[in-house]
Parts: sequence; structure tokens; C-alpha cells
Amino acid sequence: MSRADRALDALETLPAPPAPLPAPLPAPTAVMAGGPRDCPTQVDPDFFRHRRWAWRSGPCAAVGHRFEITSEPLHELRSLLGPLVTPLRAQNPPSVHGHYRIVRHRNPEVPYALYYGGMRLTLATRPESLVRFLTWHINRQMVDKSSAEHVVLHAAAATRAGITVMLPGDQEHGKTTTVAGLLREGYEYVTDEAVAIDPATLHITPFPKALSIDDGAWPLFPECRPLVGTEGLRQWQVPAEQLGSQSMRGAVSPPTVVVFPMFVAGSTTRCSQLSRGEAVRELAQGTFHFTQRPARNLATLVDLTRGATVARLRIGSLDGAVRAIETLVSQRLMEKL
Amino acid sequence: MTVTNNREGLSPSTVLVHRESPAVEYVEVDGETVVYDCAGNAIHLLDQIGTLLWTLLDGTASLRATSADLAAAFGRPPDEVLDDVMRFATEMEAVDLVERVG
Repeated sequence: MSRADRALDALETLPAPPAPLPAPLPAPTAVMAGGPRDCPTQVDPDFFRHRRWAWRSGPCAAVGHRFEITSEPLHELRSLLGPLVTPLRAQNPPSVHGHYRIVRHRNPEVPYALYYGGMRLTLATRPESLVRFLTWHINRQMVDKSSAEHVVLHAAAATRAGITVMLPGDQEHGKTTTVAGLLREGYEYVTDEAVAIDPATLHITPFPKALSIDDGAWPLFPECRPLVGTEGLRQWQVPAEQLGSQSMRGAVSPPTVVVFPMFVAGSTTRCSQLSRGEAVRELAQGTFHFTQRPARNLATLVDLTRGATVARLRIGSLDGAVRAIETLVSQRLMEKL
Repeated sequence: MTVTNNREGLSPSTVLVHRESPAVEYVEVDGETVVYDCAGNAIHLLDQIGTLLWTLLDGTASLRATSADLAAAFGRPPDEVLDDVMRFATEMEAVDLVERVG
């Protein structure tokens, strides 16, 4: 049978079913709504004027989201806020667009309130809940404020010797765990949540937030256990440095190894190929605000996949996943040499 | 070009064109095509043959004429090819990626 005949037989193949586009990052649920009178939902600048701020983050940048955090004296928050903001502190302080303020109020049962500008974002009963919400809000603002200039993908990324590995995937697919495994092997850290790609150059602007390691993966990273305040935690916020890595600060080379991870408990780790068309479709599904600029986003994703090795990775073990990715990276390095 | 909303079954004389309003966005990569449907907010992937047929749904020829061209090009029986083209066109119309001309 000729190639043309085989191609004609393939007319039987119907197009793949449509796939839904990604929902925005889900908000954490362990926060408290409602409102006591001393922490209104909307406030004017006078509300903050006479408060005693005990802690200030300094200017921070999460790609297009530039912010600062200040807090009233709340010692129990210090150990949680440090890992959150340290990787995002701006080296060349940018102009700050938004201020987060953490306020204590009189109700001892709901002692924490988080404001952004003049709007109260949440009340929290526990410091962990407040920091979890703050983390979510920073991530969400990063996505919202960066999507005009960048194609922002739900993905983790790390780089080594000029080869950038991108791990696109939804929640629970194993992005953070896998990238943490790579960092432990000497990769430099780009992000565990959102990859911001410049459509013109395909370079990545790093978003080196602390890695959010879920409780299910804690046994794999005992060295990352927080020293204090572990009670009630569902995630550890782990700076890349704690895994022996460094965070990237400047522009990162375009991804040339794109691996779609899928953690399947009890399975054997296995790498398999997928076509570039499938890769573009899956990347489109994982692009935040894809619908706002579909033509630009599709064109960028095609450019990105044309120069990349693309693969699926079913993950049964972290060691196996890291080895499989190392094999792909080695192949790219050999090509480069 | 005049398009219609007639949703009765397709016939071989039907002429189809990619939907223009709201437009569908599509890109080709390695012979496959990724189509984004702004109205349905869905993404479709066409294989290599789907991509070939997709490019032929340009509003200039009937499905019968398109099938005849393909049959001649690939040396296959015209009726057999027409069945396949009709199936593909029906699928494309069902998901609103094309509209009828005339």
C-alpha cells in the first residue's frame, strides 16, 4: 500500500474531540468570609495611616505583578511570609502597583485580615490560611497582569546548561514534585506554577516563587520540612535554595524539552511521544487567558513546539521521572554539541 | 460570499467554508492542524488528512467536486472518497467550524 493509499484510508479518522480551556487558578477554600466592623471590606487610605507596621517585604515582582507586603506585628506570620517573598524580591526595584496589608483586628477568633489596596481580600482564622490565600492571589495577579505581554502557561520549568525543561500540566499532575526533583539534581529554578513566554523571542521571564509542595509529596523531600509552624499545613512553601538550587533572575532560554507529566500512583514511569499538533493543543488548553489573544497564542505555541522535543511522561516514581527527563535533556545537549 | 444557516443534511452539492463570524483560528504544525473555536471555546486537532480536507473547505467547490479531485489525485474510487468527505464535512458542521455558502 502506497503512502497516498494509507493517507486516504486515514480519512476514516475523525477529528479529535474538542477540549475545554483551562479554568483560572482555583481559590483556596480555608479562608473566612463575612466581616467584623473593625475590618470593613472597603477602606480609604486613612484606615492604614496610623497603624504600626512591623514588617515590610520591599518591592517584589511576579513577572507583571509588582507589589509590596506590609504587616502589623504578627510574629507567627514571619516564618511563613519569608519563604513567600524572598524569591520575588526585586533586584532592581520596580515601581510598585499594588500593596498587600496584613492587619490584626480585635476579634480573637478571626485575628487576621488581608487587604489589597483598599479592598479586603479575606479574613483568616489561622496564619497558614492567610498566607495560602495571599500566595493564590499573587499567582492569580501574576497571570492576569502578565497575559497581555506574555503567553502564560500553567507549567513548571527548570534549566541546566542552556537547556530549558518545561512541564505543562494541570493541578495534581506532578509539576511541582517533578521540578523539585530536578532542582535537587542541580537544575536552576524558573517556576513551579506559571511559565511566561515572550511571543517575540520565546524567552521565559522567571517566576521563581517558593515551590508549593503538597502533603502527598512531603516524604520525598524531608529536607524541606519547615522548622516551625507545621501544624495545620497542607503545603510547604519551599525556596529553591532549600533544594540546593538557585533561582533564575534574568531571561531564560526558550524551552527545548517540553514534557507533559501525569502522576499515576502505582504505575511504572514511562516516557512516550506525542505529535507536535497534540502538544500545541495541550499547551493551548493550559494557556491562561488563551481566549483573549487566540491567534497570537496559537502562533507562539507552534513556534515553541517546532524547536522542542515533546513527550508525555507517566510518573510512577520521582527518581524515574527525573531519569527520563535527564535522558531527553542529554539528547538535546548532544545535539547542541 | 453568502452563507446560510440551513441545518438540513449536507448534500454532495453543498459548498462549505470556514466559519467567519466569529472567526475560527487555526495553525498547522507538522501536517496537523489545531483549530480554536472562539464561539464554542473549544480546541480541535485535525490529523493529516483532516488538515488536507480542512484546507479544501474554502468556499470555492462543492463536496462532490472536492471528492472528485481527491479521488483523481489519490487514485481511489470517487464514491468511496465522497463518503469519507461527507463524514468529515458533517463532523465539521456539527461542531460549527464551517458554514454553508449560497
